[in-house]
Amino acid sequence: MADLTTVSEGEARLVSARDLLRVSNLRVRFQTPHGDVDAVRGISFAVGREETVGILGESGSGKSVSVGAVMGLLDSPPAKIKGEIRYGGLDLVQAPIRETRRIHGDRIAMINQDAVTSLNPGLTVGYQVAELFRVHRPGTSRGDARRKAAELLDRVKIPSARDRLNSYPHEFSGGMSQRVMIAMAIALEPEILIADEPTTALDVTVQAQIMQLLAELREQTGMALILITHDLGVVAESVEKVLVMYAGQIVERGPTAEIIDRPAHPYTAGLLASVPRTEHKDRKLEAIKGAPPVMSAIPPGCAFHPRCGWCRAACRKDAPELTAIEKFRDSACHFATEVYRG
Amino acid sequence: MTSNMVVQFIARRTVASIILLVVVMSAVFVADRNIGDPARMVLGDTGTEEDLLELRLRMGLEDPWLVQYGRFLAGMATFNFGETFRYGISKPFAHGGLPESRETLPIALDRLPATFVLTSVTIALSVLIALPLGIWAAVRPRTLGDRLVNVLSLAGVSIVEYWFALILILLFAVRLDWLPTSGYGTAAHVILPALALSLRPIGRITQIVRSAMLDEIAKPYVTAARGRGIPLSRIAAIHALKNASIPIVTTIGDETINVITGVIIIETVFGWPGIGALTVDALKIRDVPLIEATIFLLVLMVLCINLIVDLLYAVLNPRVKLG
Repeated sequence: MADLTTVSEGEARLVSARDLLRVSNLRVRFQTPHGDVDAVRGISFAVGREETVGILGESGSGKSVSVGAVMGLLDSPPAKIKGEIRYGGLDLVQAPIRETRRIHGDRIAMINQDAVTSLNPGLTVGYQVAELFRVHRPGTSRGDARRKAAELLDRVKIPSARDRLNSYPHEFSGGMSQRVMIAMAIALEPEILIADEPTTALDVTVQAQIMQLLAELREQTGMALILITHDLGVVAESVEKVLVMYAGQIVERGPTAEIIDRPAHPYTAGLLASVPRTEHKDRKLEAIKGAPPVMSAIPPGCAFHPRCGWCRAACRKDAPELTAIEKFRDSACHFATEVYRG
Repeated sequence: MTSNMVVQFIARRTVASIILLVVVMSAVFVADRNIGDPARMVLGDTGTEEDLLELRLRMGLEDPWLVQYGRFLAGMATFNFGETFRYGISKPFAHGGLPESRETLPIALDRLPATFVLTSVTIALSVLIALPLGIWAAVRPRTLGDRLVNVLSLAGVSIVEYWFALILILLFAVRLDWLPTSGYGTAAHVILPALALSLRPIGRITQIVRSAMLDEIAKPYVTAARGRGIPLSRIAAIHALKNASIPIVTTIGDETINVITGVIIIETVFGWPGIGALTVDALKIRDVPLIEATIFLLVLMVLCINLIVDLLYAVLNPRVKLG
């Protein structure tokens, strides 16, 4: 990967041409009877071909809403989306639904947190998988769609896949349901797979199997992965790049290993200190004090300041911008360098 | 669901239905014997005391109640509700001569096709209108169109059938002369009674379709399907409707039963030669065997509809086990 700060303009264009998905200054506001809620407050990021990006954050940090916007799942009203989500010359925010519909599920696919409720209880699994071909590849015969569905179930390692086509979702376990969701997500060989907390609802042993399966499929297909999680362990194992979100903004981003090694934002540092790690066995675990802000009442200045040990007067007044502190390392903190140096 | 399970289920339900049928018909039996002397109704003012006694003996009214009840149950088992001495009898009962009579069940059965036609047309019309209307409203909640459907369906439920029937006759038959006021035989004859009967089911089914669809559309599997790029129309018509179908089918079943009871009035208003009009005629002349035969058939129809609805549950919801 080239260093964006030093490349010429021509090279920069080449770099951006490799970006599959480019989110620019995305803002999502929900208009509710109790007032407006700013769930996403101006985030920008890009995902390149075959890249793996993690979005890390607590619940309510805006990570799921961000990908909801990418997937066109936010209804307006109540959601108001601003900014740009570029995919292949199309702005997914502005484009009409009949155009975005061709992208969703086909070029950009998603798997959800709760596979069991994400499957239609009234339709057979085979129908739901085969439907993708019949919707996105019109002209696929019923028989072909079914055959492909069986192959897919086989690929996600569902035993006796062909027989399971006629099963209903309630006959599947949580882990098996998630495998079905993955089968549907990879059915049309998407360029980007978005996984929104794909293992949160599953047993620990099953979690590892699902992450393993995702890694294998990614290796085979070369699809880019956007992994949303609040689990640092999952991030460490599965993605190259990480975006840390807090209160609807990106507070830090960079290569996963480097961030875990040397965080440059007090929030990331706090997250890391709250997770047990084998290399620091004797270290005490620390929780981040306080709770994430209610999104309808975000603190002025830096949103993290009420919970931050580094907090000074400036933090209460001015919101820090996301700025580079090193090659590929950005942090939105007035004391980013100090935090980074430790 | 194996066919064996279906057969077992139908067998169990048939037994339960027979018990219910006996209970309902027993209530009818008790009521029948308390609406006045049927023999006196046959004779009118003309008969002597001897005539009356002869007819009462012939009708079995002189037997103890328990014997009458036993005969009634046995009759039901053999589909024989006795004979009428009045309905469709031209020659009045005369002293000394053998009273002329007809079996009642064939009379009632003759009327079944007309009622079947009217009920089927009404329900088909209702479903064809209510289903798309309810879905259409559900995919655009709180819009003008949705509110309009809501108000109209409420009006449909609230309007009194026979009043609406008379308005229809006044408008389309008398004023505009487009359709016949009453009768049976052509497609034109069925339009007005079916319209009068369908207003309520259209309203009710639309409301249930709308609310059941709204519930389903809010579920995560709908969001997930949207994320897969499935068009909203397809999600509504296939994904959500399949899961919303249980309350919808229940309501269609309920409304079919309501229509069957509704025909009693509407058939009379439109001179439709169905079992409803016959029931009214039989009640008017207190023709006990005929009342029993018509009500027996009406109850049987209701039980059949309930059975069909229960079977449909199992077809529509893979999680329903017949039992």
